[in-house]
Amino acid sequence: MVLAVEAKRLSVGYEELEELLWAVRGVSFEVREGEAFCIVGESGSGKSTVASAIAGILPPHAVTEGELRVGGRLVVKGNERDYEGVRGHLVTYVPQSPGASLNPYLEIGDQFYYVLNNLYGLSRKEAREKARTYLEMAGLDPGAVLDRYPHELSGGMLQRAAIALALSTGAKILVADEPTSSLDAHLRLQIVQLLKRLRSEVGLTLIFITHDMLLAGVLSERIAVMYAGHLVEVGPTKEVLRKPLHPYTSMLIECVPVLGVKRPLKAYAGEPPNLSEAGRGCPFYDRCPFRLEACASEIPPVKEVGESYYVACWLY
Amino acid sequence: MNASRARFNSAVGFLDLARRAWKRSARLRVGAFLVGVVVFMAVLGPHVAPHPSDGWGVVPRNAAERAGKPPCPEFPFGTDNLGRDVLSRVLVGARLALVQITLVVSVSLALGLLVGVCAAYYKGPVEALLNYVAEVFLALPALVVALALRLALGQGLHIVVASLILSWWPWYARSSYIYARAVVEMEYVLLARLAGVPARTVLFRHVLANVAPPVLVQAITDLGSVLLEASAINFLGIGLPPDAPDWGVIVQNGFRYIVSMPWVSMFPGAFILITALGFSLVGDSLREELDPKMRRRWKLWF
Repeated sequence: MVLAVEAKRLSVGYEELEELLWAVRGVSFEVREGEAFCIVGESGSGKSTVASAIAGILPPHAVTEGELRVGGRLVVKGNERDYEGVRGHLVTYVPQSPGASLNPYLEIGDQFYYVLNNLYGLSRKEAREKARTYLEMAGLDPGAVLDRYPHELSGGMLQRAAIALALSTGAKILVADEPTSSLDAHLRLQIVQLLKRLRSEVGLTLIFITHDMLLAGVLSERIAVMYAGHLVEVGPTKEVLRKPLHPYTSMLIECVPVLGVKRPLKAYAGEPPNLSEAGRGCPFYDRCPFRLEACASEIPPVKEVGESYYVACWLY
Repeated sequence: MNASRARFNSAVGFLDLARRAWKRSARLRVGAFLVGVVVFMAVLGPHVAPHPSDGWGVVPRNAAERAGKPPCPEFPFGTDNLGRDVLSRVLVGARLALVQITLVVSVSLALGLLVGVCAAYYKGPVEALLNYVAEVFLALPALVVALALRLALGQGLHIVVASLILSWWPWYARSSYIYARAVVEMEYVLLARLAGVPARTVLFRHVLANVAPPVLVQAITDLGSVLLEASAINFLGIGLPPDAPDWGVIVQNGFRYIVSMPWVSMFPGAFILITALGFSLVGDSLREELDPKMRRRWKLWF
């Protein structure tokens, strides 16, 4: 089996003044080629950092540990990172808010030109041609979009343009960091359907970051749940959503309202631990309703509980 | 393709900004008219002046009979104590006024933008050093610098221009630094850097392009203030020599006879006022267009 992404005890931290904050703490996971893989978690759980690490856009002040392979190439080993020939060629990225990621002074056509020129040395004309095909693929009218500035497009159009721009690089692994977080509900669904369609059309490996369990359920084949920098549960989406094993996953699922169904929504008290305070035990200890004695003193090891189904909890 | 370009290009560039402001603001149109008059004078002045040699400061041969005439059909602005036609002097002076302010503002703008953007982009020691240098220059008043340069280098245009540049560029460095601080943190800058785009290209394509418009608008407003400051330096006799065709110098020439021949100082003074007013009206309305939050609640009569 070919692996698109393989992380082995990957940690990523950020240097803030004299302090070092570990946003991702020793996560291991695999993403198969052609798979739709979702990473869910609340804000600050480190899911965006994992996305940046895969896409190769960690800021220069980031610190890494462990190993990460993207498309079979070793890109992170210890604190050394080498994304040459991977970033933009094998893996590409759809930003969280395209409004902030596209230069407001460049027309959409020019955004394509600079990216494609930088990667493949295409001329302005060739880049335009390529942009046309991909914009069309993303469901936009190229004639109406190419000569516009980002602020002239709506959020949904911008996100489609950003997806087209990401695809135009020809990379087969697409990392989408909450691409729907700034969109209306019906636009959100459109974008998800677009990504689904593109996945089968182009043969993409899709790594989708979100905090929305519903979207994750609709889109993905496998799901990974992150909490405070740890990966607490990784497994096939259907099984995880139907019968979550980790208490945190069940909490995430129980607080999703279902339209037309009256059921008590549960929210567990408390907040995720502060990342600068390295606790000794399970990161979910403070909020967990099923905590055991072992939870306080030791971080639970990752256990295989089914076929490519892992959970990190002392309960199992 | 060109048709669609023209239709959709309603965006954020400086020219578009000016076009939108033109439609909306009467103040911009008044300001542009005043500026237009002065530019027109500067271009045609020396050619249409009724007494060109008077304009350049040469004392006419029949000085005694022409001296100190109040405004009349032959000399619409009157004549000064040496019999020179004030209208001609003002017309010829327009060119020098515009040369001074465009030189000062364009050089300080280029220098300030470059320093500010570099300071924000290269963080750490470079940032500290550039900001420190800008602050040192910020503390220098133009008049004092002009005085020092006058003693070292003698009279001339270079004194006015150099002293004003030295005291104006840090303002642009300061404001472009502040805007650039926000821009360098944008994702497109980080992504471009990670993609291996050379620093120079990132600076110009991404940072400078996004920082320039508000600073440019500030610079247009400043054209008026620079004229006031330059005229002050010339009025005090630190800059241009006594008979130069400059409005500040002419005001100074008439100042000694302000009671007996007020027109000599009045007319060039009025043109200084008109030019400064024109530029600040233009700059003000452009700034409002750029940032609607700064729009005033009250309105002038135009």
